[in-house]
Amino acid sequence: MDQKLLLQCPPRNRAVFIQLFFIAVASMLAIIANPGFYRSDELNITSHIQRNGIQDYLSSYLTLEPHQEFAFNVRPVAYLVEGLVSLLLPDYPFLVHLADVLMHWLVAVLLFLAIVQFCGRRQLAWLSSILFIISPLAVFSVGWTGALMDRLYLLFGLLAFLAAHAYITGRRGYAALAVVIFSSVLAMLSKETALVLSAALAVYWFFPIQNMNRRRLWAAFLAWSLPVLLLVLYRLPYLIEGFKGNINSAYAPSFLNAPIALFGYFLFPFLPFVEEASFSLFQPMFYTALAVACNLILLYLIVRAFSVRTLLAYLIGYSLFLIPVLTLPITHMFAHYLYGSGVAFSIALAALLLAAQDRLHLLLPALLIAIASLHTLVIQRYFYRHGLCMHTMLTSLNVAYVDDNMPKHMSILAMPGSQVQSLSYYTEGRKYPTEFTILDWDKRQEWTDYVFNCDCILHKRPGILLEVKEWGPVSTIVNNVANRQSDGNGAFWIKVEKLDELGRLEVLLDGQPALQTKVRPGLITAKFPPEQYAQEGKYQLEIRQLESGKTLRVGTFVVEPLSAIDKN
Amino acid sequence: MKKTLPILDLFNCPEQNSAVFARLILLSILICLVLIANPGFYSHDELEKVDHILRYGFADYFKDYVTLKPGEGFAFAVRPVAYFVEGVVSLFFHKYPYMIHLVDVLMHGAAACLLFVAAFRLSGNRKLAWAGALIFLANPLVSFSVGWSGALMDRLYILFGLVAFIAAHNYISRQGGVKSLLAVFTASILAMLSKETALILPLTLLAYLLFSFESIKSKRLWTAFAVWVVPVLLFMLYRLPALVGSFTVKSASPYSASLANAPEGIFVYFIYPFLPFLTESHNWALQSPAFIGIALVGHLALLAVLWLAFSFRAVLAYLFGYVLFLVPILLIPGTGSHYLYGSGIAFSIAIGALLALKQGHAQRALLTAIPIGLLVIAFLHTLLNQQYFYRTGLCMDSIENTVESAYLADGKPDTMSVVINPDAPGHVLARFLHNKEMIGSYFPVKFQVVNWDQRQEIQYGYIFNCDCLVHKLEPFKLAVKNWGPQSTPLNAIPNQQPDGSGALWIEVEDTKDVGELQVMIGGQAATLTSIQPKVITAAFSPELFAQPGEKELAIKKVATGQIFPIGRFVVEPAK
Repeated sequence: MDQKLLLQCPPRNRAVFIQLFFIAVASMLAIIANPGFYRSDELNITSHIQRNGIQDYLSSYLTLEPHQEFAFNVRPVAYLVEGLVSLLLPDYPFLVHLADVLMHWLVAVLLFLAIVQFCGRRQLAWLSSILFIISPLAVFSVGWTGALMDRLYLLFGLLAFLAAHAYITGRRGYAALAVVIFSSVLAMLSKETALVLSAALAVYWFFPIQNMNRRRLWAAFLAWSLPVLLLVLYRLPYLIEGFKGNINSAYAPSFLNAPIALFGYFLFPFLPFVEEASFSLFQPMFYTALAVACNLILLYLIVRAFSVRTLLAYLIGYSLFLIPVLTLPITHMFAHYLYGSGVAFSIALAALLLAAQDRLHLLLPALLIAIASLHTLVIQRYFYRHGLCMHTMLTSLNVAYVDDNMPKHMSILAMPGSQVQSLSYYTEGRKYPTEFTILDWDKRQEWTDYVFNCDCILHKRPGILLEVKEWGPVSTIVNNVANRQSDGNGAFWIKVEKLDELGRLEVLLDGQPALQTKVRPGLITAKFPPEQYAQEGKYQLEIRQLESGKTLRVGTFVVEPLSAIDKN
Repeated sequence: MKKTLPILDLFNCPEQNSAVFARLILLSILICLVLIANPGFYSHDELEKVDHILRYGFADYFKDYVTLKPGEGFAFAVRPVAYFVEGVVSLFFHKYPYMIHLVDVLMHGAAACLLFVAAFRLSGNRKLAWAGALIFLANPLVSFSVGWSGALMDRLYILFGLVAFIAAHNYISRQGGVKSLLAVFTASILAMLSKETALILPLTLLAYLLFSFESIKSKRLWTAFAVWVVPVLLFMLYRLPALVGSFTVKSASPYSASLANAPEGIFVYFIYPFLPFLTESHNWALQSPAFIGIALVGHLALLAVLWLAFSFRAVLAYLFGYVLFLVPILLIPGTGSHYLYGSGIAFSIAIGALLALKQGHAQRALLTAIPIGLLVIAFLHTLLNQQYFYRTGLCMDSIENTVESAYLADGKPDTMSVVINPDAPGHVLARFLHNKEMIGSYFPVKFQVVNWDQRQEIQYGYIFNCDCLVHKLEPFKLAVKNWGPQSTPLNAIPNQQPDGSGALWIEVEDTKDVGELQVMIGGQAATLTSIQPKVITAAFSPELFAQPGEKELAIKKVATGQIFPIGRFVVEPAK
């Protein structure tokens, strides 16, 4: 079947690396082109550097402190990389995303080498690497700059694996063990989830190789585990407190969360329209059933093509990287945690493609890949739209903040249909440049100073929230009462939208209130005395909310001179 | 086997054509990644189309743009094919700007593939065709047309021109019959309806005469030429009154044609590829004479190398190919970098041919070293052009967002007058607001751009600053009670401070909520501005008092760039 495949592995490694690079860039264009970012994580780092300088950043973030919250100050390597990349964020956001994609490519290259080294099957390694690049399990970590730690720890994990393999097979000596230890340290200092990495050596138990030295295997395992043990011991008091439930943190762990979270993470790749992993558990029955069926088909295909032992290896490989986060609350199920699971997922699908004996057996894994790839595209689109929105919001927010003389607090009303998630991801826990409160549309009765609209523009609230569609008359000739009524007064009509719950309104012409303002659904009418039309000029027509005193500008009414008749 | 750096594998010509095309398309994406990632746009051209569609609908856009009209001016509404493509692509404008840029780059990649085919068929030299296509992807003559979405017509007419050329070559070399002629005819129509500059395209067949004069006897050559020319002639006849008008009437159109414009145009376009710090060609005069000289020498060196490596005829062919696509626009005043897209073909093929010189050729080392050196300069130019587009796009995007924000915050005013801060990129704002009557989905809005030196005569309500942000301008006023010293003798430092600097004080009513301020004399900012409740003090370096004359003392509000004049500070001349 190998020969019939369109995607043939190039014979030379360097050609493989170059082609994987092309595939990574071309398949991640939407991620690279994203002009914005995903959450306040990466923006906080940039703000910190802009405000306090890079040295202060390094001294604040590049430390190892045991008694802090789950994700704080225990990732110096990751924060070093993030800090350096953040320097490009304000002027060249695409370079930050390009660095994310390049890191992903590097992981794919190491994955290729690891598979080739382990089993010698280049075509399997090639397809696995491609599937890993485009996997929906990987795209979240790549699209979210702030999740670079998930990429980093896997990158160092793969390096450790390559070195361990060279030692176990007797090709290298103690230098390889030193590389294992060094990579393990870097992985642990990138993300503490790396504590599971040494278990990856179980692959030698599932798939024994000929030239394996068991003593060396144990030595490599110990070398790999040593930095893990040291860091865990260092953080042990906090971890114990965490499991006792004594810590008041959004990340407070519990074993009860694990089964349901695991179920959700398994569904994720085959739920093509789900963006964040926590939504996996709340999908319509049809999609959930589809994802379960896809998983069952995948498991069945693995057993059928290989063995139950292989199935077990796949399940462990998929779950291994999730173990440290399975105990977190369901609301904290995040798709970027799945980056490591993408390895087992990609290898399994690639192996099934290669094991297919005929077109029919090729069809099922191809179908699974198609669903997963659709999911990747949906997530990329999500990142792009979210980033574009956050970018627009940030630009307009900067202006609103400066124009308002840098207020200490900004209360923002989110209009219906606006991408409020982008706004809240930016403001969550953020105190720079100021503190924020977001009000949903349901709470619009409470006054806010700013509005966030459907175009992701954040602006100073101009007055009452009313959309004027049309109004008239827009002009008259001096002393000609416009739209004269039976009582001799002139009248205006203003067609509006969103006229509910606005309280009492009155229309003003040149600051003078109307004799009478009538408010009906979708229409406001107002009467003005003939004297209002006696002086030529331009006059502002406004609507005022009596309770708040806020006004909305409708337009400019023109009283033209008599000479305008001749011109017309 | 000779060892090469792994990265150079990329630049080896694959054996199969399908691999060549795939690699060229992927390379175009990689080389133009900065352009794809651009979150904004370059000019009002593309914004006008999007606004039109948003305001009047797609059907109206088609009625107005995708029709054939004789037009009134040189560049008016006679590009239905290009406008059709632009209209369709515009659908991505608000939600997926990168898709528009990706289409631009893919179109460029397709042109490179066609160039490969054309060069290979004409020369039979695969290495030359590959090198030419690669250089075409990355040379500075094409980066403007690719980076500027609104300049897609320059890419489109070349794309159709290459199709016509390949079909014509098939016919001339007896590989194709009437079908090939039909393809020439169709491609010629599409090229003419993409951009009227395509009228020169049939002349590309003269390349046959330049390399083999015997071809003049080829009936097939003349048949292909005639078929290619027919749509051109029909189009020209249709537009004749407008074109005659362009030459005879002294109109105020920026495109009114004159032969007097040609010499400057030729010179600027000739030096352009080797002037790496020049983005828009019309700014060429701002370049240093040394750079202009180097660029001129660089291009002349290329001609000399072509002569040495091949023949004088090759030099003539190169010049012909370089200038041919510029002929129609040499007559209009000013220059535009995007017009050079077609010239990029001759440029790329010439350097590609030099790089593909056979082993053993006398002086091969020198003849390839010089073009490689020139290519380095040219590629640097491409990178800087791309960076310019990215930064302009980012700036225009900021303008769009902040103008809409100010418009909404201000209760949707009828008119928005924006003053340009002296250090702000005013050209980007001017391009954005040119002919604009709409912001977001709101219309009609009248926009006015006020230059800094017009701020006394024209009222304005908004300010555009160096961060590309448009701010609502709350009047910046300070109740100044007194200030001093108001003069000093030459070289006498007023209120000399321990560090040697001079100091001025400004007594004001109140400094509450004034924000960050900067005192300035004659536009030069104070080395230190200190704000106290009732007084503002500022320190200035001693050099400021070393020149006699009157200078304006003013206070600048740092956040908005607004300047509040205080009075005139006098340095009295020595007696």
